[in-house]
Amino acid sequence: MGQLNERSAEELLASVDAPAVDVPVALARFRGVVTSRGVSAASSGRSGWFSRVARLPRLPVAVAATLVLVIAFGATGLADSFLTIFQPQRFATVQVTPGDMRGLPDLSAYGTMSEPTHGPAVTVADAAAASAAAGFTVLTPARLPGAATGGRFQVVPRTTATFTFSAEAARATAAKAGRTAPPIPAGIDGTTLLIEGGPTVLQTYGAQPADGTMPANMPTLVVAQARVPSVNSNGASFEQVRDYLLAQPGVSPVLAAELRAVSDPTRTLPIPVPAGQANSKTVAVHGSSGVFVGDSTGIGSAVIWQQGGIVFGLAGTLTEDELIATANSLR
Amino acid sequence: MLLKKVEVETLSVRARAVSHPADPGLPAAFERLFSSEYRVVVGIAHRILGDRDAAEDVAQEVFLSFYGRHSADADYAAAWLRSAAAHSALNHLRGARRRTGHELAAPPAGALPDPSRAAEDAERLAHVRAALLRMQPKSAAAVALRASGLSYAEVAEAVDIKGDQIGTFLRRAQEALRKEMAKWDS
Repeated sequence: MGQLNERSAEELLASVDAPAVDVPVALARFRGVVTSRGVSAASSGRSGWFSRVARLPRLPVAVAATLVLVIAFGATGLADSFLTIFQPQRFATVQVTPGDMRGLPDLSAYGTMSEPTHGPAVTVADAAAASAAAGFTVLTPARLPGAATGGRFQVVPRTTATFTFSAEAARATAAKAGRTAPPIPAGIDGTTLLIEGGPTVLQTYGAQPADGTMPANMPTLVVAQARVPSVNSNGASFEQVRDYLLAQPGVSPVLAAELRAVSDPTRTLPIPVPAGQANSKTVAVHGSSGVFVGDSTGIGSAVIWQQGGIVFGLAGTLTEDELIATANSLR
Repeated sequence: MLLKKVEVETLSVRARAVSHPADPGLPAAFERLFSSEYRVVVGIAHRILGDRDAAEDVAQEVFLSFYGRHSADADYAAAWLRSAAAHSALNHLRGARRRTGHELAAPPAGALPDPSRAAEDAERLAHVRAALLRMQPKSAAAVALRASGLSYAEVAEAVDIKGDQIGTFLRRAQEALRKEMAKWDS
Protein backbone atom coordinates (compact mmCIF):
# COMPACT_ATOMS: atom_id res chain seq x y z
CA MET A 1 0.00 0.00 0.00
CA GLY A 2 0.96 3.62 -0.32
CA GLN A 3 2.92 3.33 -3.59
CA LEU A 4 3.63 6.61 -5.32
CA ASN A 5 1.98 5.53 -8.55
CA GLU A 6 -1.31 4.47 -7.02
CA ARG A 7 -4.43 6.43 -7.80
CA SER A 8 -5.56 9.02 -5.30
CA ALA A 9 -8.69 8.51 -3.25
CA GLU A 10 -10.55 11.12 -5.31
CA GLU A 11 -9.41 9.57 -8.58
CA LEU A 12 -10.60 6.18 -7.44
CA LEU A 13 -13.98 7.54 -6.46
CA ALA A 14 -14.26 9.43 -9.74
CA SER A 15 -13.37 6.27 -11.66
CA VAL A 16 -16.52 4.46 -10.52
CA ASP A 17 -18.75 4.21 -13.56
CA ALA A 18 -22.33 5.44 -13.26
CA PRO A 19 -24.59 2.41 -13.52
CA ALA A 20 -27.01 1.98 -16.38
CA VAL A 21 -30.50 2.82 -15.16
CA ASP A 22 -33.89 2.67 -16.81
CA VAL A 23 -35.53 5.97 -15.88
CA PRO A 24 -39.07 5.14 -17.11
CA VAL A 25 -39.03 1.90 -15.10
CA ALA A 26 -37.72 3.76 -12.06
CA LEU A 27 -40.45 6.38 -12.49
CA ALA A 28 -43.12 3.66 -12.69
CA ARG A 29 -41.68 2.07 -9.56
CA PHE A 30 -41.69 5.44 -7.82
CA ARG A 31 -45.29 6.05 -8.84
CA GLY A 32 -46.20 2.72 -7.28
CA VAL A 33 -44.44 3.47 -4.00
CA VAL A 34 -46.19 6.84 -3.83
CA THR A 35 -49.53 5.13 -4.32
CA SER A 36 -48.88 2.34 -1.84
CA ARG A 37 -47.70 4.71 0.87
CA GLY A 38 -50.40 7.27 0.16
CA VAL A 39 -47.91 10.13 -0.20
CA SER A 40 -49.23 13.40 -1.64
CA ALA A 41 -47.12 15.84 -3.60
CA ALA A 42 -46.13 19.00 -1.79
CA SER A 43 -47.95 22.03 -3.11
CA SER A 44 -46.05 24.66 -5.04
CA GLY A 45 -46.43 26.90 -2.04
CA ARG A 46 -45.51 30.49 -1.68
CA SER A 47 -41.98 31.67 -1.57
CA GLY A 48 -40.27 34.23 0.57
CA TRP A 49 -39.10 34.57 4.09
CA PHE A 50 -42.37 35.53 5.77
CA SER A 51 -44.47 32.83 4.14
CA ARG A 52 -41.89 30.17 5.05
CA VAL A 53 -41.48 31.33 8.61
CA ALA A 54 -45.21 31.76 9.06
CA ARG A 55 -45.64 28.04 8.48
CA LEU A 56 -43.27 26.99 11.22
CA PRO A 57 -45.47 27.75 14.26
CA ARG A 58 -48.15 25.45 12.91
CA LEU A 59 -45.81 22.49 13.17
CA PRO A 60 -46.68 19.72 15.57
CA VAL A 61 -44.45 19.18 18.54
CA ALA A 62 -41.49 17.74 16.75
CA VAL A 63 -37.98 16.54 17.29
CA ALA A 64 -36.32 19.86 16.65
CA ALA A 65 -38.95 21.62 18.67
CA THR A 66 -38.19 19.22 21.49
CA LEU A 67 -34.48 19.70 21.17
CA VAL A 68 -35.06 23.43 21.20
CA LEU A 69 -37.79 23.49 23.82
CA VAL A 70 -35.73 21.21 25.87
CA ILE A 71 -33.37 24.04 25.91
CA ALA A 72 -35.72 26.72 26.89
CA PHE A 73 -35.64 25.44 30.45
CA GLY A 74 -33.04 24.94 33.25
CA ALA A 75 -32.06 22.34 35.85
CA THR A 76 -32.39 22.04 39.60
CA GLY A 77 -33.49 19.47 42.16
CA LEU A 78 -33.26 16.35 40.03
CA ALA A 79 -34.43 13.02 41.32
CA ASP A 80 -31.51 10.69 41.99
CA SER A 81 -32.47 8.32 39.18
CA PHE A 82 -32.16 11.03 36.51
CA LEU A 83 -28.93 11.89 34.78
CA THR A 84 -28.46 15.08 32.82
CA ILE A 85 -28.05 14.08 29.19
CA PHE A 86 -28.25 17.50 27.57
CA GLN A 87 -27.30 20.93 28.85
CA PRO A 88 -26.30 23.53 26.28
CA GLN A 89 -23.18 25.55 26.80
CA ARG A 90 -22.88 26.71 23.21
CA PHE A 91 -24.91 26.98 20.02
CA ALA A 92 -24.58 25.84 16.43
CA THR A 93 -26.75 26.65 13.45
CA VAL A 94 -28.39 23.97 11.33
CA GLN A 95 -29.75 24.84 7.89
CA VAL A 96 -33.36 23.75 7.49
CA THR A 97 -35.98 24.05 4.80
CA PRO A 98 -39.69 24.29 5.62
CA GLY A 99 -39.92 20.76 4.23
CA ASP A 100 -37.25 19.55 6.65
CA MET A 101 -39.29 20.94 9.51
CA ARG A 102 -42.54 19.46 8.28
CA GLY A 103 -40.82 16.09 7.88
CA LEU A 104 -39.93 15.85 11.54
CA PRO A 105 -42.00 13.27 13.38
CA ASP A 106 -44.67 14.36 15.83
CA LEU A 107 -43.27 13.47 19.25
CA SER A 108 -46.71 12.68 20.60
CA ALA A 109 -46.58 9.62 18.34
CA TYR A 110 -43.79 8.14 20.42
CA GLY A 111 -45.03 8.52 23.96
CA THR A 112 -46.64 10.84 26.45
CA MET A 113 -45.73 14.47 27.05
CA SER A 114 -46.87 16.06 30.30
CA GLU A 115 -48.18 19.60 30.34
CA PRO A 116 -45.36 21.94 31.33
CA THR A 117 -45.75 22.91 34.98
CA HIS A 118 -44.97 26.42 36.04
CA GLY A 119 -46.62 29.32 37.77
CA PRO A 120 -48.04 32.25 35.82
CA ALA A 121 -45.72 34.78 34.21
CA VAL A 122 -45.64 37.95 36.25
CA THR A 123 -44.94 41.50 35.14
CA VAL A 124 -42.63 43.37 37.50
CA ALA A 125 -41.64 47.02 37.77
CA ASP A 126 -37.98 46.94 36.89
CA ALA A 127 -34.76 44.96 36.58
CA ALA A 128 -34.21 44.85 40.33
CA ALA A 129 -37.61 43.28 40.91
CA ALA A 130 -37.01 40.86 38.04
CA SER A 131 -33.66 39.86 39.54
CA ALA A 132 -35.25 39.21 42.92
CA ALA A 133 -38.01 37.08 41.38
CA ALA A 134 -35.68 35.11 39.06
CA GLY A 135 -32.83 34.56 41.51
CA PHE A 136 -30.15 35.84 39.14
CA THR A 137 -28.94 39.29 38.12
CA VAL A 138 -30.96 40.69 35.24
CA LEU A 139 -28.91 42.83 32.86
CA THR A 140 -30.41 45.70 30.89
CA PRO A 141 -29.17 47.48 27.75
CA ALA A 142 -27.19 50.61 28.56
CA ARG A 143 -28.02 51.90 25.09
CA LEU A 144 -31.16 51.27 23.10
CA PRO A 145 -31.43 51.44 19.33
CA GLY A 146 -33.29 54.50 18.05
CA ALA A 147 -36.76 53.07 17.61
CA ALA A 148 -36.84 51.25 20.96
CA THR A 149 -38.42 52.91 23.94
CA GLY A 150 -39.62 52.07 27.42
CA GLY A 151 -39.13 48.61 28.83
CA ARG A 152 -41.41 45.93 30.25
CA PHE A 153 -40.15 43.14 32.52
CA GLN A 154 -41.81 39.72 32.74
CA VAL A 155 -40.65 36.76 34.81
CA VAL A 156 -41.62 33.21 33.81
CA PRO A 157 -41.01 30.86 36.77
CA ARG A 158 -39.01 27.64 36.55
CA THR A 159 -40.72 25.12 34.31
CA THR A 160 -40.64 21.34 34.16
CA ALA A 161 -42.12 18.87 31.71
CA THR A 162 -41.72 15.15 31.17
CA PHE A 163 -41.88 12.94 28.13
CA THR A 164 -42.07 9.15 28.37
CA PHE A 165 -41.31 6.98 25.35
CA SER A 166 -43.78 4.19 24.61
CA ALA A 167 -43.36 1.39 22.08
CA GLU A 168 -47.12 0.88 22.23
CA ALA A 169 -47.83 4.52 21.31
CA ALA A 170 -45.35 4.31 18.42
CA ARG A 171 -47.00 1.10 17.15
CA ALA A 172 -50.52 2.55 17.44
CA THR A 173 -49.59 5.72 15.55
CA ALA A 174 -47.84 3.78 12.82
CA ALA A 175 -50.81 1.43 12.48
CA LYS A 176 -53.15 4.42 12.13
CA ALA A 177 -50.94 5.69 9.30
CA GLY A 178 -50.85 2.26 7.68
CA ARG A 179 -47.16 1.78 8.37
CA THR A 180 -45.07 -0.61 10.40
CA ALA A 181 -43.34 1.14 13.27
CA PRO A 182 -39.56 0.90 13.24
CA PRO A 183 -38.50 -1.14 16.30
CA ILE A 184 -38.03 1.01 19.37
CA PRO A 185 -34.71 0.15 21.04
CA ALA A 186 -35.08 -1.59 24.39
CA GLY A 187 -33.19 1.18 26.18
CA ILE A 188 -35.64 3.82 24.99
CA ASP A 189 -39.03 2.18 25.60
CA GLY A 190 -40.20 3.45 29.00
CA THR A 191 -37.47 6.05 29.34
CA THR A 192 -38.70 9.32 30.83
CA LEU A 193 -37.08 12.58 29.90
CA LEU A 194 -37.33 15.33 32.49
CA ILE A 195 -37.02 18.72 30.89
CA GLU A 196 -36.25 21.61 33.20
CA GLY A 197 -35.68 25.26 32.53
CA GLY A 198 -35.96 28.77 33.76
CA PRO A 199 -36.74 31.01 35.40
CA THR A 200 -36.78 33.24 32.35
CA VAL A 201 -36.86 37.02 32.32
CA LEU A 202 -38.14 38.80 29.21
CA GLN A 203 -37.62 42.49 28.55
CA THR A 204 -39.53 44.06 25.69
CA TYR A 205 -38.84 47.48 24.29
CA GLY A 206 -40.49 49.92 22.05
CA ALA A 207 -43.12 49.84 19.38
CA GLN A 208 -42.56 50.57 15.76
CA PRO A 209 -43.92 53.82 14.40
CA ALA A 210 -47.46 53.31 13.18
CA ASP A 211 -46.62 53.73 9.50
CA GLY A 212 -48.17 50.43 8.49
CA THR A 213 -44.88 48.66 7.83
CA MET A 214 -45.12 46.53 10.97
CA PRO A 215 -48.00 45.03 12.94
CA ALA A 216 -49.16 47.20 15.82
CA ASN A 217 -47.46 46.60 19.18
CA MET A 218 -44.67 44.54 17.63
CA PRO A 219 -41.68 45.01 19.92
CA THR A 220 -38.52 46.49 18.47
CA LEU A 221 -36.33 44.55 20.85
CA VAL A 222 -36.75 41.54 23.12
CA VAL A 223 -34.06 40.61 25.61
CA ALA A 224 -34.34 37.16 27.22
CA GLN A 225 -32.29 35.73 30.05
CA ALA A 226 -32.76 32.23 31.47
CA ARG A 227 -30.92 29.69 33.53
CA VAL A 228 -29.32 27.11 31.25
CA PRO A 229 -31.94 24.43 30.57
CA SER A 230 -31.36 20.71 30.83
CA VAL A 231 -32.77 17.42 29.69
CA ASN A 232 -32.45 14.55 32.11
CA SER A 233 -33.09 10.88 31.51
CA ASN A 234 -33.79 7.91 33.74
CA GLY A 235 -32.79 5.47 30.99
CA ALA A 236 -31.63 6.14 27.46
CA SER A 237 -28.59 8.23 26.66
CA PHE A 238 -28.69 11.38 24.55
CA GLU A 239 -27.19 9.53 21.59
CA GLN A 240 -29.78 6.74 21.81
CA VAL A 241 -32.67 9.22 21.87
CA ARG A 242 -31.23 11.32 19.07
CA ASP A 243 -30.41 8.36 16.82
CA TYR A 244 -33.84 6.80 17.34
CA LEU A 245 -35.73 9.99 16.51
CA LEU A 246 -33.55 10.86 13.54
CA ALA A 247 -34.03 7.36 12.11
CA GLN A 248 -37.79 7.86 11.82
CA PRO A 249 -39.32 7.93 8.36
CA GLY A 250 -39.86 11.43 7.07
CA VAL A 251 -36.81 12.94 8.72
CA SER A 252 -34.81 14.61 5.98
CA PRO A 253 -31.51 12.74 5.53
CA VAL A 254 -29.74 16.06 5.08
CA LEU A 255 -31.09 17.45 8.34
CA ALA A 256 -30.34 14.17 10.14
CA ALA A 257 -26.76 14.26 8.90
CA GLU A 258 -26.39 17.90 9.92
CA LEU A 259 -27.70 17.16 13.43
CA ARG A 260 -25.49 14.10 13.80
CA ALA A 261 -22.50 16.18 12.72
CA VAL A 262 -22.93 18.70 15.56
CA SER A 263 -19.81 18.40 17.65
CA ASP A 264 -20.06 18.07 21.44
CA PRO A 265 -23.78 17.34 20.95
CA THR A 266 -24.75 16.95 24.61
CA ARG A 267 -23.68 20.55 25.25
CA THR A 268 -24.54 22.19 21.93
CA LEU A 269 -27.97 23.52 21.06
CA PRO A 270 -28.75 23.39 17.34
CA ILE A 271 -30.45 26.58 16.15
CA PRO A 272 -32.57 25.95 13.04
CA VAL A 273 -31.91 28.55 10.35
CA PRO A 274 -34.10 28.72 7.21
CA ALA A 275 -31.85 27.64 4.33
CA GLY A 276 -31.23 30.42 1.85
CA GLN A 277 -33.43 32.82 3.78
CA ALA A 278 -31.23 33.78 6.68
CA ASN A 279 -27.57 34.39 7.35
CA SER A 280 -25.86 33.08 10.44
CA LYS A 281 -22.41 33.41 11.88
CA THR A 282 -20.42 33.13 15.06
CA VAL A 283 -19.99 36.39 16.92
CA ALA A 284 -18.24 37.50 20.09
CA VAL A 285 -20.59 39.00 22.66
CA HIS A 286 -19.42 40.04 26.12
CA GLY A 287 -16.29 38.00 25.55
CA SER A 288 -18.29 34.82 24.88
CA SER A 289 -18.90 33.07 21.59
CA GLY A 290 -22.47 33.39 20.35
CA VAL A 291 -24.50 32.82 17.23
CA PHE A 292 -26.02 35.63 15.18
CA VAL A 293 -28.91 34.96 12.81
CA GLY A 294 -30.34 37.58 10.49
CA ASP A 295 -32.80 37.26 7.67
CA SER A 296 -31.58 38.11 4.19
CA THR A 297 -33.75 41.22 3.96
CA GLY A 298 -32.36 42.88 7.09
CA ILE A 299 -35.82 43.04 8.65
CA GLY A 300 -35.05 40.91 11.68
CA SER A 301 -32.08 39.54 13.57
CA ALA A 302 -31.25 37.62 16.73
CA VAL A 303 -28.21 36.67 18.77
CA ILE A 304 -27.83 34.02 21.48
CA TRP A 305 -24.98 33.16 23.82
CA GLN A 306 -24.32 31.60 27.21
CA GLN A 307 -22.34 33.02 30.07
CA GLY A 308 -22.06 31.94 33.69
CA GLY A 309 -24.91 29.44 33.49
CA ILE A 310 -27.30 31.99 31.99
CA VAL A 311 -28.51 31.90 28.37
CA PHE A 312 -28.89 35.35 26.83
CA GLY A 313 -30.93 36.04 23.71
CA LEU A 314 -31.71 39.29 21.92
CA ALA A 315 -34.04 39.58 18.95
CA GLY A 316 -35.56 42.49 17.16
CA THR A 317 -36.32 44.40 14.03
CA LEU A 318 -32.77 45.68 14.00
CA THR A 319 -29.69 45.56 11.85
CA GLU A 320 -26.80 43.34 12.86
CA ASP A 321 -24.71 46.30 14.05
CA GLU A 322 -27.56 47.68 16.16
CA LEU A 323 -28.31 44.31 17.70
CA ILE A 324 -24.71 43.42 18.56
CA ALA A 325 -24.07 46.89 19.97
CA THR A 326 -27.18 46.55 22.14
CA ALA A 327 -26.10 43.07 23.27
CA ASN A 328 -22.65 44.33 24.22
CA SER A 329 -24.21 47.19 26.18
CA LEU A 330 -25.99 44.87 28.65
CA ARG A 331 -25.00 45.86 32.18
CA MET B 1 -34.25 -3.55 6.73
CA LEU B 2 -35.50 -0.41 5.04
CA LEU B 3 -34.25 -1.55 1.67
CA LYS B 4 -35.89 -4.95 2.07
CA LYS B 5 -39.13 -3.17 2.91
CA VAL B 6 -38.83 -1.06 -0.20
CA GLU B 7 -38.18 -4.15 -2.29
CA VAL B 8 -41.30 -5.81 -0.92
CA GLU B 9 -43.32 -2.69 -1.60
CA THR B 10 -41.89 -2.48 -5.07
CA LEU B 11 -42.90 -6.03 -5.82
CA SER B 12 -46.39 -5.42 -4.49
CA VAL B 13 -46.59 -2.22 -6.49
CA ARG B 14 -45.56 -3.99 -9.66
CA ALA B 15 -48.22 -6.61 -8.99
CA ARG B 16 -50.82 -3.90 -8.54
CA ALA B 17 -49.70 -2.09 -11.65
CA VAL B 18 -50.78 -5.11 -13.66
CA SER B 19 -54.27 -5.25 -12.18
CA HIS B 20 -54.73 -1.47 -11.75
CA PRO B 21 -52.96 0.21 -14.59
CA ALA B 22 -54.65 3.57 -13.94
CA ASP B 23 -52.45 4.70 -11.04
CA PRO B 24 -52.81 8.41 -10.29
CA GLY B 25 -50.25 10.46 -12.17
CA LEU B 26 -47.51 12.54 -10.67
CA PRO B 27 -47.39 16.29 -11.22
CA ALA B 28 -45.78 17.04 -14.58
CA ALA B 29 -43.13 19.22 -12.96
CA PHE B 30 -42.13 16.37 -10.68
CA GLU B 31 -41.92 13.88 -13.56
CA ARG B 32 -39.62 16.29 -15.39
CA LEU B 33 -37.48 16.66 -12.28
CA PHE B 34 -37.35 12.90 -11.76
CA SER B 35 -36.41 12.29 -15.40
CA SER B 36 -33.64 14.86 -15.39
CA GLU B 37 -32.16 14.05 -11.97
CA TYR B 38 -32.67 10.32 -11.41
CA ARG B 39 -29.45 9.25 -13.18
CA VAL B 40 -27.47 11.89 -11.29
CA VAL B 41 -28.92 10.85 -7.93
CA VAL B 42 -28.30 7.14 -8.57
CA GLY B 43 -24.79 7.94 -9.80
CA ILE B 44 -23.93 9.77 -6.60
CA ALA B 45 -25.34 7.01 -4.38
CA HIS B 46 -23.61 4.32 -6.45
CA ARG B 47 -20.24 6.04 -6.15
CA ILE B 48 -20.59 5.89 -2.37
CA LEU B 49 -22.20 2.46 -2.07
CA GLY B 50 -20.71 0.56 -5.01
CA ASP B 51 -23.97 -1.34 -5.43
CA ARG B 52 -26.48 -0.41 -8.14
CA ASP B 53 -29.56 -1.92 -6.48
CA ALA B 54 -28.80 -0.24 -3.18
CA ALA B 55 -28.13 3.04 -5.02
CA GLU B 56 -31.51 2.84 -6.77
CA ASP B 57 -33.22 2.12 -3.45
CA VAL B 58 -31.53 5.15 -1.91
CA ALA B 59 -32.59 7.24 -4.92
CA GLN B 60 -36.22 6.15 -4.52
CA GLU B 61 -36.18 7.15 -0.85
CA VAL B 62 -34.57 10.48 -1.65
CA PHE B 63 -37.18 11.31 -4.29
CA LEU B 64 -39.94 10.14 -1.97
CA SER B 65 -38.62 12.33 0.82
CA PHE B 66 -38.55 15.29 -1.57
CA TYR B 67 -41.91 14.56 -3.18
CA GLY B 68 -44.03 14.91 -0.06
CA ARG B 69 -42.31 18.01 1.26
CA HIS B 70 -41.02 20.21 -1.51
CA SER B 71 -42.35 21.65 -4.71
CA ALA B 72 -40.73 20.27 -7.85
CA ASP B 73 -40.58 23.88 -9.05
CA ALA B 74 -38.39 24.91 -6.12
CA ASP B 75 -35.17 26.50 -7.30
CA TYR B 76 -33.22 24.34 -4.85
CA ALA B 77 -34.74 21.04 -6.06
CA ALA B 78 -31.71 19.60 -7.89
CA ALA B 79 -29.28 20.73 -5.21
CA TRP B 80 -31.49 19.24 -2.49
CA LEU B 81 -31.76 15.88 -4.29
CA ARG B 82 -28.01 15.64 -4.90
CA SER B 83 -27.15 16.56 -1.35
CA ALA B 84 -29.72 14.11 -0.01
CA ALA B 85 -28.34 11.39 -2.29
CA ALA B 86 -24.86 11.80 -0.85
CA HIS B 87 -25.99 11.99 2.76
CA SER B 88 -28.48 9.13 2.44
CA ALA B 89 -25.91 6.90 0.78
CA LEU B 90 -23.37 7.70 3.50
CA ASN B 91 -25.99 6.90 6.14
CA HIS B 92 -26.85 3.66 4.37
CA LEU B 93 -23.19 2.73 4.21
CA ARG B 94 -22.81 3.51 7.90
CA GLY B 95 -25.80 1.34 8.73
CA ALA B 96 -24.51 -1.51 6.60
CA ARG B 97 -21.13 -1.39 8.33
CA ARG B 98 -22.79 -1.32 11.74
CA ARG B 99 -24.86 -4.37 10.87
CA THR B 100 -21.96 -6.38 9.50
CA GLY B 101 -19.49 -5.06 12.07
CA HIS B 102 -16.54 -5.00 9.71
CA GLU B 103 -15.07 -3.22 6.72
CA LEU B 104 -17.03 -3.37 3.52
CA ALA B 105 -16.28 -6.17 1.17
CA ALA B 106 -14.34 -5.05 -1.88
CA PRO B 107 -16.15 -5.50 -5.19
CA PRO B 108 -15.13 -8.51 -7.29
CA ALA B 109 -11.88 -7.75 -9.07
CA GLY B 110 -12.66 -9.99 -12.01
CA ALA B 111 -15.07 -7.40 -13.36
CA LEU B 112 -12.18 -5.08 -14.13
CA PRO B 113 -9.65 -5.40 -16.98
CA ASP B 114 -6.33 -5.82 -15.11
CA PRO B 115 -6.98 -8.33 -12.32
CA SER B 116 -3.98 -7.51 -10.11
CA ARG B 117 -4.36 -3.73 -10.43
CA ALA B 118 -8.11 -4.08 -10.22
CA ALA B 119 -7.92 -6.06 -7.00
CA GLU B 120 -5.73 -3.40 -5.44
CA ASP B 121 -8.00 -0.59 -6.65
CA ALA B 122 -11.08 -2.43 -5.41
CA GLU B 123 -9.62 -2.92 -1.97
CA ARG B 124 -8.49 0.67 -1.84
CA LEU B 125 -11.89 1.91 -2.99
CA ALA B 126 -13.54 0.05 -0.11
CA HIS B 127 -11.22 1.90 2.22
CA VAL B 128 -11.94 5.23 0.55
CA ARG B 129 -15.61 4.65 1.32
CA ALA B 130 -14.83 3.68 4.90
CA ALA B 131 -12.71 6.84 5.20
CA LEU B 132 -15.63 8.97 4.00
CA LEU B 133 -17.63 7.75 6.98
CA ARG B 134 -14.99 9.00 9.38
CA MET B 135 -15.15 12.53 7.94
CA GLN B 136 -17.56 15.34 8.70
CA PRO B 137 -20.71 14.45 6.70
CA LYS B 138 -20.70 17.73 4.79
CA SER B 139 -17.07 17.29 3.74
CA ALA B 140 -17.63 13.67 2.75
CA ALA B 141 -20.68 14.64 0.73
CA ALA B 142 -18.76 17.41 -1.03
CA VAL B 143 -15.96 15.00 -2.02
CA ALA B 144 -18.45 12.43 -3.30
CA LEU B 145 -20.42 15.03 -5.24
CA ARG B 146 -17.30 16.45 -6.86
CA ALA B 147 -16.15 12.92 -7.75
CA SER B 148 -19.59 12.39 -9.30
CA GLY B 149 -18.83 15.07 -11.85
CA LEU B 150 -20.66 18.03 -10.32
CA SER B 151 -19.15 21.44 -11.00
CA TYR B 152 -17.77 23.56 -8.18
CA ALA B 153 -20.92 25.71 -8.35
CA GLU B 154 -23.18 22.65 -8.18
CA VAL B 155 -21.27 21.21 -5.22
CA ALA B 156 -21.42 24.61 -3.50
CA GLU B 157 -25.17 24.76 -3.90
CA ALA B 158 -25.67 21.16 -2.76
CA VAL B 159 -23.63 21.48 0.42
CA ASP B 160 -24.71 25.07 1.05
CA ILE B 161 -21.31 26.70 0.89
CA LYS B 162 -20.85 30.14 -0.65
CA GLY B 163 -19.56 29.98 -4.21
CA ASP B 164 -16.36 31.84 -3.47
CA GLN B 165 -15.54 29.49 -0.58
CA ILE B 166 -16.20 26.14 -2.20
CA GLY B 167 -12.67 25.78 -3.60
CA THR B 168 -11.14 26.09 -0.16
CA PHE B 169 -13.82 23.89 1.37
CA LEU B 170 -13.23 21.14 -1.19
CA ARG B 171 -9.46 21.32 -0.81
CA ARG B 172 -9.82 20.91 2.94
CA ALA B 173 -12.30 18.06 2.49
CA GLN B 174 -9.95 16.28 0.09
CA GLU B 175 -7.07 16.81 2.50
CA ALA B 176 -9.20 15.32 5.30
CA LEU B 177 -9.87 12.30 3.09
CA ARG B 178 -6.15 11.89 2.39
CA LYS B 179 -5.42 12.03 6.11
CA GLU B 180 -8.01 9.35 6.82
CA MET B 181 -6.51 7.23 4.05
CA ALA B 182 -3.01 7.80 5.40
CA LYS B 183 -4.10 6.32 8.73
CA TRP B 184 -5.12 3.19 6.87
CA ASP B 185 -1.96 3.15 4.74
CA SER B 186 0.24 3.39 7.81
